[in-house]
Amino acid sequence: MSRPPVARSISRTQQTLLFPSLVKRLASDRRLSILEIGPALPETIGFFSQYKCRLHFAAMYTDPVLQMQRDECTEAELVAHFTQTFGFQKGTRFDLCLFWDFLNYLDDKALRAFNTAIIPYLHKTTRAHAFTVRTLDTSFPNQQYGIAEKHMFSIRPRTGTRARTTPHTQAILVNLLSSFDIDQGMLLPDGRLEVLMTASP
Amino acid sequence: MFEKHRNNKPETVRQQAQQESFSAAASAPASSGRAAVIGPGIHINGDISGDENLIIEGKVDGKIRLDAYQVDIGQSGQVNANITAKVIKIAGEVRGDLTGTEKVVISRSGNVHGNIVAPRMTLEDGAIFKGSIDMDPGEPAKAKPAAPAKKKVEKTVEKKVTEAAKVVTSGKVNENKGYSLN
Repeated sequence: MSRPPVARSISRTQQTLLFPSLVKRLASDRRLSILEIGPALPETIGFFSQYKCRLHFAAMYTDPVLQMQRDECTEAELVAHFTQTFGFQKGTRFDLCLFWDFLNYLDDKALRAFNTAIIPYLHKTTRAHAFTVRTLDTSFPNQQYGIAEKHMFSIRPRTGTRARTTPHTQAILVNLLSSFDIDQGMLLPDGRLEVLMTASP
Repeated sequence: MFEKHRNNKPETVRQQAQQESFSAAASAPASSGRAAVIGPGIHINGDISGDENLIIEGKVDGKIRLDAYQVDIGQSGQVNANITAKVIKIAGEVRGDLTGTEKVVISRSGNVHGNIVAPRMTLEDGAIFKGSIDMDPGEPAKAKPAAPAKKKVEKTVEKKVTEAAKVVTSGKVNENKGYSLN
């Protein structure tokens, strides 16, 4: 939760063709539970304010686990760390998880641990959104995402020291993040893949 | 192993912020009545309740309950407590759950770690928040009725999006399937 050195501001937006189909499924009378893996942004809160929901901001991009030498940790230690860091209330089951590009900041061991830690908070119709890569040489811009509109993500430059990235192709991702199956993928012009997933806990 | 780093502002900046924030708070118009002020040099360890607004520039550990009033946590305020109030405005640091029966506002210098329940919530650009927010627009979420012509256009767009999505739908792990560029 360290404060970025400069104020964040929306620098641009990115159109999304897949996200509207997730939103369509959100129109429900019951209270939704939504996980935003990144920081709380005004536009994301504004977007979800039209829904009866509980919006969880995990702020995982600033988690120390991204900066540390994970080689020194066992997978079990990482699972325990993620579980503690999440701090979700008992009984929480997410309907929607917004992972953005966070999974590409986790190496194989950390991603397996993340997968194990999040399983208790999923149900069989949990849906998720993420960015992965078509090929491993694709670079990820250091940016954070919000939801400006259902067809549009807001993009802000992320400040501070950038953590090491470990991009995962779709095939590798589904093996390591075994609690989700990929439903749809859209190749973006910069080589990233926008994917929608459904939980299979 | 996973020690978190606290937000350490330079001392001069913090002192300046404290002075500005405190003088602003002390001279704040009492639009909804009088306000008690916990100054930057005060540390309260215990529960707080009462019948007037409260401005916190110091440290509070415990519980704060001012159901029908407003709690302002200034830039120098450091609160480790659950807070229940009509309106809660945060410019400092808070660790605890917040219940605002009218609204909760986290300003750009605010840093909150906890869960928030409020019918209205404002997070200013630059604010830091970790936790959950219970939102309730007041009625079941449903699409706003649109003019027929507009609806038709939207339907067409959605149809196109669906078609596009179908084209790029892939198997679970098959990377060799074709993708269309965005």
